[in-house]
Amino acid sequence: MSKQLIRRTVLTAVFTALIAASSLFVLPVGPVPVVMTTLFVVLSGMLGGPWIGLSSVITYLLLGIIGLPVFAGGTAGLAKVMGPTGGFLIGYILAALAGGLLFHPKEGGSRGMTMVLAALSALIAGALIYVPGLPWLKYSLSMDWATAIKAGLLPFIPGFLIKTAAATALAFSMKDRFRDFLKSGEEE
Amino acid sequence: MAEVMIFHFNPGESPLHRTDVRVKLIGMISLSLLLLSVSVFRLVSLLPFLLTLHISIRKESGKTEISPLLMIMPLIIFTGNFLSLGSTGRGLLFFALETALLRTFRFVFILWMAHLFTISTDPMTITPALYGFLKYIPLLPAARLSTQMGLSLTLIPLMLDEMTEIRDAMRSRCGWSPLRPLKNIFHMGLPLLDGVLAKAESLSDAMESRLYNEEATEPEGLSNSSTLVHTLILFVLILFILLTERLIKADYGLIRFY
Repeated sequence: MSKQLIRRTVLTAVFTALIAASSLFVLPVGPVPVVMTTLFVVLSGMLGGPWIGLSSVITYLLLGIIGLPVFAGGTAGLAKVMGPTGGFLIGYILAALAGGLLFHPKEGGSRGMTMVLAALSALIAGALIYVPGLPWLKYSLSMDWATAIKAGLLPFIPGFLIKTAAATALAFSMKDRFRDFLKSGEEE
Repeated sequence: MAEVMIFHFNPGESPLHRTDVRVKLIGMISLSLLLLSVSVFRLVSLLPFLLTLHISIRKESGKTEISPLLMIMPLIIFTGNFLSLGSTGRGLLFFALETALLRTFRFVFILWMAHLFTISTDPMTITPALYGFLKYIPLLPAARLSTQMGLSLTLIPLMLDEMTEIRDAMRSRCGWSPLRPLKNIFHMGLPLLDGVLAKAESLSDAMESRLYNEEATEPEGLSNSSTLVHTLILFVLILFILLTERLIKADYGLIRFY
C-alpha cells in the first residue's frame, strides 16, 4: 500500500471520527446549543478534498446504520436515516463533496481570493445539506412547505451562519497544512 | 476524560466479551431493524435480554455508566417528537404522547445496545469482522472501508477527550464567552484540527513503518460452535418476538419506520 494511500485512508478515518465525536459534543452557543457535526462535514471536504470528504461521510453514515450512536445527539440505526431528519444525513454527502470540489485554492494565490473562495464554498456546501433535507422532512411528516421551512430551516439559520463563518476561517487557516500532509505522501 | 463514556472499551471476560464480533454486529443490525417498527410488545420483549447482558458486563468490569449528557438526550428526543407531532395537525394529544414515548424508548434501546457493543468489543477486532461482511458486496472497496471504520471507532474516544480538554482549557483561561460564539468555535477548532493532523501524521507513519497493506486478516470461519449457538439464539429471539406479536396480535402502539 503506497504512502499516499495510507495517508488518505488515515485522514478519512480521522475526519469520520471527528464528525462522529462532534455529534456527541454539544457546544453552548448563545441560547441554543449547537452540534458541530455539519461544520466538520463541510471541513472534511474543504480540507481533505472531495473524495476524502465523501469517503468520510459515507463511513460515518455506515457506522450509524450498523447501530453505533454517531448521529446527532447519540442517535443511530436505519430508523434515523429513514426518519424525518434522514434527508439531512443524505445532504451531508452532497455537502462534503461540494466543499471539496469548490475549495481548491491555487498555491501562493492571493489571500483575499482564497478567503472569498472559502466563504463561498462553505456557504454553498452547508446550504446543500438542506436540499434533500427539507423535502424529505415535508414528505415524511406530511407537512406543507411553510411548516417544513419553519421547522427544518428557520431555527437553524443563526447556527448555520456561525458555522459557515467558522468553516471559512478554519479552512483558510489550515488548508495549506492539510495539503502539505497529503502531498508529502506522494511518491517521487 | 471524555464526558461521554459510550465509545470506551473495557476489557473483560463476560459472555458478551467472549462473543464473536460478527455475531455482535449482526445482533446490533438485526435488533435495530426490529425496532424500525417499534411497539410496546417489542420493547418489553427485548428488555430482559438487554438487561441480562448489561448485568453480566457490570459483574465483570463493574463500570457501565453513561455520561449525564446522554441521560438527558431521551428527554430532549421526547420533547422534540412531542412538539413536532403536535405541529403536524394530526395532533391528538394521546397519539402524540404515545408516539413520542415509543420513539424515545427506541432511542434508549439503540443507545443501550451500542453501549454494550462498544464496552465489550476491542475496536481492533472490528476491522476484520466488517471486512468479512463487506467483501461480498460487489464494486465496494471492502478492505479500505473496513479499515476506515475500524480506525474511526478507535479514534472517536480520543477525539471526544481532546474536544473536552480544549473546551476546559479555554474555560479555565476565561477564553470562553457566550457572547462570541464564532470566536469560541474558531479557538476550539484550530487546536482541534492541529491535533487531528498530528494524529493522522503519527498514525500513518506507524502504519507505513509496519508495512501496512489492505490484505485484511480473515476472521475464522463460522465453524466455531459457540458462534453458531450465539447466532442461533439471536435469530430464535427475533423470530419469537415477531411470531408471538402476530399470534397474540400485540401490535398495540406499533409505530412504523420513524
